[in-house]
Amino acid sequence: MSTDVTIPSGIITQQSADRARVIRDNVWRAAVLVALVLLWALLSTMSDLVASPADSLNALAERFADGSIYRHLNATLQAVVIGFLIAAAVGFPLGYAIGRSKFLGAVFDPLVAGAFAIPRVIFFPILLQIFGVGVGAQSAMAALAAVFPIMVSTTAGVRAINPLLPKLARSLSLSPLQTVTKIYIPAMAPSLMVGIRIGFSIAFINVIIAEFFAARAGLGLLALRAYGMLDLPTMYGIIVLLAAIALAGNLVLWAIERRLGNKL
Amino acid sequence: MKVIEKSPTVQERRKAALVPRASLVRWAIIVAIVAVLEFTTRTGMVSQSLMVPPSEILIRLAEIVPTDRFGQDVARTLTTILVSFTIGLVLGVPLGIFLWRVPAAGRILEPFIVTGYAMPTLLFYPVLLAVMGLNAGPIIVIAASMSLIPIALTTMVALNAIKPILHKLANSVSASPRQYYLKVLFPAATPLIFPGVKLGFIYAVIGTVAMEFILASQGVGFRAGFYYRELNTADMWAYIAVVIVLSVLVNGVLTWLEKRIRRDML
Amino acid sequence: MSQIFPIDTVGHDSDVVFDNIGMTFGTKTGVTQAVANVSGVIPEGKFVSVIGPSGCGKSTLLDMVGGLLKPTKGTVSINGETVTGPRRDTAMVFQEDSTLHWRTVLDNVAFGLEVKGVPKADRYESARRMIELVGLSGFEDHRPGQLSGGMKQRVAIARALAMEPRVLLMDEPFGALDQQTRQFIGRELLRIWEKTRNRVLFITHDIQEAVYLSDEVWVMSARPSVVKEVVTIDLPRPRPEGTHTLPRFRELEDHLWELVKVEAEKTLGPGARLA
Ligand SMILES: Nc1ncnc2c1ncn2[C@@H]1O[C@H](COP(=O)(O)OP(=O)(O)O)[C@@H](O)[C@H]1O
Ligand SMILES: [Mg+2]
Repeated sequence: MSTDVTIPSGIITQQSADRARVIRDNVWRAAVLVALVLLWALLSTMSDLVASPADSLNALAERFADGSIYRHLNATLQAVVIGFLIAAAVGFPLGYAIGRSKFLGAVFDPLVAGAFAIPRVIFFPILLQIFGVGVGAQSAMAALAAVFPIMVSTTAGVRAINPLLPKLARSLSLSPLQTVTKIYIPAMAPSLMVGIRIGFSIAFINVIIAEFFAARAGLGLLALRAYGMLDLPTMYGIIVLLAAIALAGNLVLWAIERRLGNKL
Repeated sequence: MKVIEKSPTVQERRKAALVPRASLVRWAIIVAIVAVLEFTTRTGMVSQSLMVPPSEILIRLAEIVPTDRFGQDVARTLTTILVSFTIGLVLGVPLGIFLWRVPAAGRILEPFIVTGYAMPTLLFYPVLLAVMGLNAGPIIVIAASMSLIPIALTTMVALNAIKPILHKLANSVSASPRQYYLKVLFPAATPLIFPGVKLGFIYAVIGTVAMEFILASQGVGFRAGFYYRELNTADMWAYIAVVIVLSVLVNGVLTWLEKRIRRDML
Repeated sequence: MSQIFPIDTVGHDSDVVFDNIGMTFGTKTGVTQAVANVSGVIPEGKFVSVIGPSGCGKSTLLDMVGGLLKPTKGTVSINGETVTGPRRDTAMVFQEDSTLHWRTVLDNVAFGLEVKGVPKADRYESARRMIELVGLSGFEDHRPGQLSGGMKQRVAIARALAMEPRVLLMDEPFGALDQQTRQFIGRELLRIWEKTRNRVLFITHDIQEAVYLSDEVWVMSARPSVVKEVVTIDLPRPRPEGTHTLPRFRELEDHLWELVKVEAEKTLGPGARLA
């Protein structure tokens, strides 16, 4: 009995981002952020387990002011970056090979999918024994965590390439190198970015988890210590810092994505 | 003409031959890895404090599996996974529908959702622990929050990808909102939502085991970490093997389901 | 406002009546007047085709009759009732493939009836009859993925026919098909329609198709559109295969072509062809 003649608005996707809308969206985002902080403030007045936003930011600022946080920040970021780079160096070529060859795909798809489903953090003890407690083990953890999502997205990206494009490349007699750089990589860019984004997120999360388990330095360790000493403001301050790092990482990836998108 | 007619069957035959050969190679690789591990650990090329021979892991498993504690651990882990995933699904799908119905909300909230995706939510564990106590509660909250995000995002994307003509069709036959969701939207979106649901389940597994590993006092993830601290390499590996088998089984079941669900897409 | 039009001046109660309808879309950049003013009547048992340059508002017009869009001006009425939303006695066929890929052919054809709440046995019976009518017998249990484009469109037509609509609305239903298939399905459609004789509003950009199928062809002007001319197709029915070669057929075709060419040039510039 519906006499509703409207079509759900979700299907209308406006491609060209209109400037006024972008500004309006950002105002809304700021409003959401303010609302979250207010909610946090409200919770802090209700519970002793929640430090107030002001206290937390102060505690964080102090850690920066006395310089004691840099060692930990460095350890975490180093592990994420090194681990991610290793994962990318291994994951992209392997994912590409598996995507290009039907046979390799048939052999490795189930293995990669199975490995993807395993909680890789379970291997951290072994990494600890190989690398010892420190950035080496954390980096290896990040690499192990990020490599499978990167492989999976790369493989999916290769397979999603319009089959006419390789034909086009052959008809233009492009060299193999040109075919990869001018056809495959641009055509795969969206999937590659998905892989990079997920890879970054997973590497980051796993480094923190690993730091909880055993580390010499790192933001995860610092948060755990702060909690152990019941220094809640510092603990919440570090959570804010981690959120800021996650957001900043994603903003950078977004910017890259947009620039790539404009170029293609 | 003959060539054109023949070529698909040749291709089909080739494809049919590919699958068993591929699985043969796959099993050969797995067996080779196990054999290498057996050899290197037995000969001492790999220290036994790092890894014990796979055959010994099997022996340990045969002793561990029948014990009550093992049953309790597995039951604890599986229920935690299932409860987390169920919460992720029950909250994630409506959230995805909301983000689809209100595209502005999707746009505005995207940075928050993506940040949440990269957030080590386990940092909230101490707080959750204080609020909920030392039980499965805090782990469920964290694993569910990890499971929810891919489910919500894929639901939104899947609903957006539905051909506009299907909305028009539903409208033209005066489908009620209920019929619209049950007979058109969900069936159309399910094959596209399923990969997200699968990912959500895998994240529930990963979240649960990872939390158990570092924080809990029960569950298969906890045991692996526990035996590491006890320097009991054989039992640690036995539990790692349990986690691997569990994850691969879960993934296999989900993949099988996915194939069935996506079958009529083609 | 009166719901029923004076019978003598506009048309019969049972007709589809367009009373000065117009549609203006509000967009971010301004307003688009798609349909300026259309008046007309589709009498009982008549097959009316609409042709006009691409973007002139043909689909908009059809959607207004189907109740998917509310006119911003004027009203459409069917059987004397103003159309305010999708009606149970109208059925639509779209240009794009609108089959539900997860349902079998039988369940696709029965879909409209299922939504109407027709019991299973009854709707399957009608669906089977329609499947036979459109020549898809034996494909009841196939899924759309296993069918060709022409067969999928026949499923969509069967679904619409199964609802036994008093008004059948078709928006370039053969637009995505190749020439041979569309001629074949066109003949089939006509054969079926000779039996049902419901009112049909048929949108096409193929002049030959319009002449072959219709009792009347409405030629729409470029946007903002009006009906520029109503051409009565006075070819005898039934129309066998050779109809295309009749001199009268050629005459009507040439006449329509002239009308449409002028409009197409308005939208696309001189020398442009009908899209
Ligand atoms: N939902 C809408 N919003 C804005 N403009 C529209 C919408 N639908 C159609 N139009 C515009 O109305 C005009 C007529 O469209 P349409 O009816 O689809 O033309 P036709 O079917 O004759 O090709 C076009 O200029 C089109 O851009
Ligand atoms: Mg149209």
